[in-house]
Amino acid sequence: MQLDEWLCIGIPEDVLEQASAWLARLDADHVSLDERQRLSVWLDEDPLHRWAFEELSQLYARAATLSQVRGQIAAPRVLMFPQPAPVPAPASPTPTGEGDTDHTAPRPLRWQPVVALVLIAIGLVLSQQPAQPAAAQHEHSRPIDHNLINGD
Amino acid sequence: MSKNLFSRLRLNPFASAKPASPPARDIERMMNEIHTQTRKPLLASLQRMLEPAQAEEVLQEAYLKLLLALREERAPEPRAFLYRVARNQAISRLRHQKVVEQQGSHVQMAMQSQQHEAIESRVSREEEQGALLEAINALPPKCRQVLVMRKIDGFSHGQIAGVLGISTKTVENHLARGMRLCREHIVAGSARPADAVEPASKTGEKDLAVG
Repeated sequence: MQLDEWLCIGIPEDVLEQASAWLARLDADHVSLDERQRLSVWLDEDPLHRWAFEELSQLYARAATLSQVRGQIAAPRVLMFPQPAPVPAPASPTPTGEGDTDHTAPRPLRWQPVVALVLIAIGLVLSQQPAQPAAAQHEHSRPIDHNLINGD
Repeated sequence: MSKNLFSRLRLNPFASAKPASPPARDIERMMNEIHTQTRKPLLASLQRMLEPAQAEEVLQEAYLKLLLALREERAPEPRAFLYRVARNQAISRLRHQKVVEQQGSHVQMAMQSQQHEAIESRVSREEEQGALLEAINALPPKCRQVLVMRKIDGFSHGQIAGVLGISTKTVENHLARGMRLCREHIVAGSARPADAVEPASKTGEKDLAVG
């Protein structure tokens, strides 16, 4: 499967809209079983549905491989600073620690979006400077090895 | 029957290591069922891409490949396999046709069908990456931001929604739209110069400043 002029060829616009919507839905943080079943039904309705879904899916997956050229993409990088959650009062320790494992692992950190927004603003200001010509910034990228579904 | 059972369990040291294939009867039944269910829609879909005679050929080839795959147990999802195989074959023909057009008909007559693969013009990985990079940079700024945060920077939908102050539904909409626009850009970019479509707005940087 290639990213060229044959990508999703012959597939009508409304099917592409549906397929991309399904793909984005399936990419979400929580997907219900009902939704997965509805997707399965939709995929079986028409070969065009399945083609669109698979090919857009491949395109979507390939976007992730651009991390090597992140600097050439015009999108500010968001940094989120963690804020440690308040530490609870320590529990009374067991006298001899028999059998009990030590439960002093750090609690998960909480992210602070406000700090992130400040950094986005900084990033937006910085990115107003004219982009460097692509040739000057081009890093020689190593060939990327991917196991694509169709074994291309 | 018991001989089959033993060979599956590998109790018989003289049996071949290869497990028994599914009974031919089952495969035939499955093929008939799939054929009945899929022939019409698959032919119709192929006819969107190819002329009727070619579509019919590709259809037959696809069923044949499915049959072989079922026998060798290479198709755990028969319908998906069938559709993918048909699609690949159709695209392969389209690609081949285009190359032949460009090189002239005398090449076509000299060629065997097995040489389709060799003569097809294919873009390299680097060219694909370049096209994708361009496509992403040509996206509307918010769309691009969401897509990049998700696929490259690895944030969840919830995190993106929180940071950008939008709903997760809007995040999904941006992702869906981003995919479609990238696809359009890539397809347009691959067209011959005479057919080239103007890529999407080149005011990407200016838009970024406006936010």
